[in-house]
Amino acid sequence: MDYRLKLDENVISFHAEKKGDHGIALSRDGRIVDIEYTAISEYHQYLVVDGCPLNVFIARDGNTKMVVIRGISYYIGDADAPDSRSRGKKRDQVMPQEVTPPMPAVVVRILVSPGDSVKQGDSVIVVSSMKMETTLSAPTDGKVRAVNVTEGEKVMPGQILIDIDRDTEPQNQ
Amino acid sequence: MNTCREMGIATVAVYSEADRKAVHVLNADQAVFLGDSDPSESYLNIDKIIAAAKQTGSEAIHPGYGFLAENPLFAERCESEGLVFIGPPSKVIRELGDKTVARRTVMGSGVPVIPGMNKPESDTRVLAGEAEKIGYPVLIKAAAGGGGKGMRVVTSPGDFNEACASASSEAKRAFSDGSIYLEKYLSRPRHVEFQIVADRQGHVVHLFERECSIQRRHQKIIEETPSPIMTPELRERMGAAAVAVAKASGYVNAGTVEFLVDQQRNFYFLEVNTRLQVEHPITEMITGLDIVRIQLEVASGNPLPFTQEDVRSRGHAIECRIYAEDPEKGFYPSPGKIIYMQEPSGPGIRNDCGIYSGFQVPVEYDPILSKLIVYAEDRSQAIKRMIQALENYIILGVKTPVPFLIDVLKSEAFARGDTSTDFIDTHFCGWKPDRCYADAACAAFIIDELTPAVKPKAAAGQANTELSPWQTLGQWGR
Repeated sequence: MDYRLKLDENVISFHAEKKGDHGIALSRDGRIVDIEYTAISEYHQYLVVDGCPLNVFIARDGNTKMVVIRGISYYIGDADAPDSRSRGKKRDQVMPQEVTPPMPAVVVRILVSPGDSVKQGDSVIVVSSMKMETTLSAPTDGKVRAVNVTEGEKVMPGQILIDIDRDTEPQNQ
Repeated sequence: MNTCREMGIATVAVYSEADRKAVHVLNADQAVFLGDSDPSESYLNIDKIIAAAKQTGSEAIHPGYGFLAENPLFAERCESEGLVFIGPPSKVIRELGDKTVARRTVMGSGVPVIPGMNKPESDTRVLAGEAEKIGYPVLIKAAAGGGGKGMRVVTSPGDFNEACASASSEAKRAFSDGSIYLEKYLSRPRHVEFQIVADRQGHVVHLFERECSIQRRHQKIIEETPSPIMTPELRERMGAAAVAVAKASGYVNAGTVEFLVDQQRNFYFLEVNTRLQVEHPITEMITGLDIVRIQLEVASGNPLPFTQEDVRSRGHAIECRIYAEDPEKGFYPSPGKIIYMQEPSGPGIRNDCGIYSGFQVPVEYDPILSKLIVYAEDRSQAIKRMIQALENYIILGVKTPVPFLIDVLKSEAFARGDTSTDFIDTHFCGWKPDRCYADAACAAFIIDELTPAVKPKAAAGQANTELSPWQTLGQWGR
């Protein structure tokens, strides 16, 4: 089986072949690594990588898996999987038009109302996460179509807080 | 709470909406719901907390180390309601809470303070004149301050007015008090503090120092004791100064006298924290004392059971604060759900932990998850023990500074004891972890895909309790 995995910004290709019930041969750039594995629990694997034993901890976190080995964490995703956050939105082709928090947060202040005109970079909403306030700004010039949240509401990444209709004729070009 | 249980004292926890499943609630003998997660509706609401105390027949309140811990109004209210506030008298909190008043008190006792102003000032022209007198760079500080809020370093007169305005407005938002004052800015200072304990009979004893220079965003993340720069002679002088400050202010109960130490090892009084500190466990490790027990004894009117000569320090202790934050992105908060965790254990390891598998880290409060403390015979052994403990501390689901802390502890600069408050900026700017096991991590990903998810009948979080030590001791004997 072939895998294309994304670690940080790098895409790494692997070919994996199962060897018995507890073994796998992994090749990357022509180099083959033999790995024996024992699943200790849902979150814990005991691996022997080319003779070197490692306790590896792993959990799915959203679209990626968080892996911890000897205190260092790795965030790995399938490079070919569609990004679940932009599913159906074709984010790459259209300028982003919505405002979403970078992490779970609480809405502190809403600075715009539906119908307001905004310029790209204007502050539109302030959210707070663990006592740190973050101001989110308009991703584009346009008109506020809808404010989907109220002050004090808990919000998650991917949730669209404010919809902005992009100006059809950008003035600054 | 554990101390209370040892002493046969029943405990009542109070909690907000967000903390329904918090560890302190689960462990108390009784728990009272205060209200909404917003602190003003719960942990900062004096009326509700007093009512909870009355309703449960509590005799005393331990204010912890956040929220109302240094609020003189709260202490005063306890006093007038006939409840014992486990801390200093409200008058002492008030006087030491205003940093300019504290500076005047301390100067009176002959302890050196950082050159600067002794009262707050709102007129920017007067402030600018003072800045010239002190000499740039100057530090603008909030009179009511703490935690780095309302603090600005100004290196030239051109930026001065703007910095004053923003510091004052930040202080107003954080402490409902916009008063600011100026101090000389010391470059690359060390932050060294002394734990003190005082009884109502007027005895004051210090429990040695803690070095807390490693900070990010003016908040400590690694603390140790003894300080790597300390000499018996300097310890004696600073300890005497800390005791003098406590005596001058009429201090009772446990507190911390903070100093800055410059590169020539001159020390200057910074402030007094009128509460238990987050980092108090390292002092407990080297002295063998339980500071919370001392607090409770003193609050019940008992004298300190030891004198300065009785207190001995042995070995070396280090604490690392584990926050839910991303060390690769400026230590930005990273809330979420703890999917799985495994705590380190072994000789000389203590983890004061507020989380468990399945715990949702609330977005409402400071993102501290736990405090990992190690103790060993000497500093180099303590460093190795901490690295080992961090490597065996598994937290899945949120980002933590564990990889960062490991690299700090492994660094040459830390080993040399070359710590100052700009340590992270100097040595770890733009830090990224060395992801040397990337292939193994990818293999784990693939194996996880290939093996059908293990779904034990019991809850997933309990799976690890069935392991034999032979399975978990992967690095045993290495």
